[in-house]
Amino acid sequence: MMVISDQSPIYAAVNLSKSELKTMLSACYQCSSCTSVCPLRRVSKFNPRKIIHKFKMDTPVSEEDLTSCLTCSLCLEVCPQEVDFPEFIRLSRKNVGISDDNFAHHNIFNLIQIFMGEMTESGMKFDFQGKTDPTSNIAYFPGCIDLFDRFLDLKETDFHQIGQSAINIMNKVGISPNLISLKCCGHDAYWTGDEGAYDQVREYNTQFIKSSGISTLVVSCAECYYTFEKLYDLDVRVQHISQFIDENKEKLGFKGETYDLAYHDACRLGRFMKEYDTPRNVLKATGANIKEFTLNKQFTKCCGVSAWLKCDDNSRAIMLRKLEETAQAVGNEGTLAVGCTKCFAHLNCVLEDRKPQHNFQIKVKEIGMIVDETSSSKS
Amino acid sequence: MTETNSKIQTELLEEPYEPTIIVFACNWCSYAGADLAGVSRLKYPTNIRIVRVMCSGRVDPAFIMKAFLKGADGVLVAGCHPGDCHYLEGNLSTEVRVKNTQEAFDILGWETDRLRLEWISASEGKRFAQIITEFTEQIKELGPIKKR
Ligand code: SF4
Ligand code: SF4
Ligand code: FES
Repeated sequence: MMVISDQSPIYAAVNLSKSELKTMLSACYQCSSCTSVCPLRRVSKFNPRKIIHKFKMDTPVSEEDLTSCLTCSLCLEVCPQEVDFPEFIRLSRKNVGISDDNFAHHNIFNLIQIFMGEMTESGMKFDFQGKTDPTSNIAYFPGCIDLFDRFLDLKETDFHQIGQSAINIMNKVGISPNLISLKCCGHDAYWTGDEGAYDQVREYNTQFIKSSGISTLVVSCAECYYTFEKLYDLDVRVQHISQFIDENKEKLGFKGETYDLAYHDACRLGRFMKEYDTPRNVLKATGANIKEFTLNKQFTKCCGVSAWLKCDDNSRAIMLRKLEETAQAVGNEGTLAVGCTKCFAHLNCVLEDRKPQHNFQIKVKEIGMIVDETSSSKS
Repeated sequence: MTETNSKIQTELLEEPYEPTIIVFACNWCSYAGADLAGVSRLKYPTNIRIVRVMCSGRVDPAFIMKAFLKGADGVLVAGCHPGDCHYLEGNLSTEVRVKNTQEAFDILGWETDRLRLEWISASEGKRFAQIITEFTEQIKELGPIKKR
């Protein structure tokens, strides 16, 4: 069996516990299942199996490969040996470091995250309509949506509405949430290997959540949900907006008219948190007749970009395929529901970039938006 | 030599707060304006570091963020007056971007006054000196950035 030699230069650079890396990669028997499912492989020469092989032969992972992987975890899902390739990529990023020019939008979002960690003394401020109550023990955190509105040049996409819908829903079931002023959850810093920046926001948020005395934290974004629930060590209940709706769906008075809908399982909500059914139940309750993709649930292909790394032609091609799949499932004017703010951003971005690339008239909506639109209850 | 060095150092330590201000100036108007201020021997504070860009429209919000993260206390974006941009509409998009960045600062709970946008033409050397003096005063009043 091949194992990583202790003298390997990369091995020395990758400052990890040796056993960790060994168990991570040594189990790989080069079956290539990972490469065969990888969404990037469909559009490029990207090859996780080969990266592992080369790494074991002491060839460092190239920067190109390091930054291309979407860390979507589909490979881990099919790997017979449970080789955690995305984690391997994350740790390599952490040790090698990623330069700014690999990020989309001039790296503005990661800069903001570092900014939040280093420069500001308070969390983000939000401005929504509806009832909120700073003493409530149920909190809602909208995430970075207001910043997306400022820095993504999307004319037809309203990110603010994601938060507004969530607050409307909570009001409709009789809850005035505590609109909690946290900093960015740090998901992207964590996954791009910038653990210093991640730790800064994590410490602030953990402290703030503790002192706020809340018992439940509701979030709209799959990444926030995964980060707060899995990566942080919080003693409050973290709920994705779909889970919150599921618990309260009787009070929302859905009109019950049926309509066709496609649903995309975000990797952080699906594969990472194993939450496949709740979003579907919620959407069904609104009257949706869900037209499943051929590859769905744990086999869903990624939306195309992760952690604002590298939005290039490959990402575009992956996104266009997603739209194509949607068009096949619900028609060219159908709706695609997503449970993640990032999927919402990326897919809407490619949608707005119409001709000559494509002519899809699909609408991409976030779960909370759909629920708010179809519920007839008054807040 | 070492003696002078340490002397300089103690003097530096005792000096009052001198902010660092990054000025993004477009090649065709504002940079020429700064030039004119120079050749006309107008006085203005030496706190600024000018970064010349071909058009103020080149200044991405990420540049501004980065300037602050690297230690700037204030950022001034300067371009041609509306209608005068060498590339026709570059400065109009600058206006939107700077406004958006200021709004983002507000969301993040940060001082929006540390970022400013000004139109300075090639003939406005005097105005350039005035704006720099005024902005430096303003930043001095705000004081150094309080990092966590
Ligand atoms: S699927 Fe697993 S065992 Fe097979 S090549 Fe990929 S990492 Fe190796
Ligand atoms: S995490 Fe996703 S993008 Fe990366 S190698 Fe695995 S399947 Fe491919
Ligand atoms: S060239 Fe001066 S602002 Fe565009």
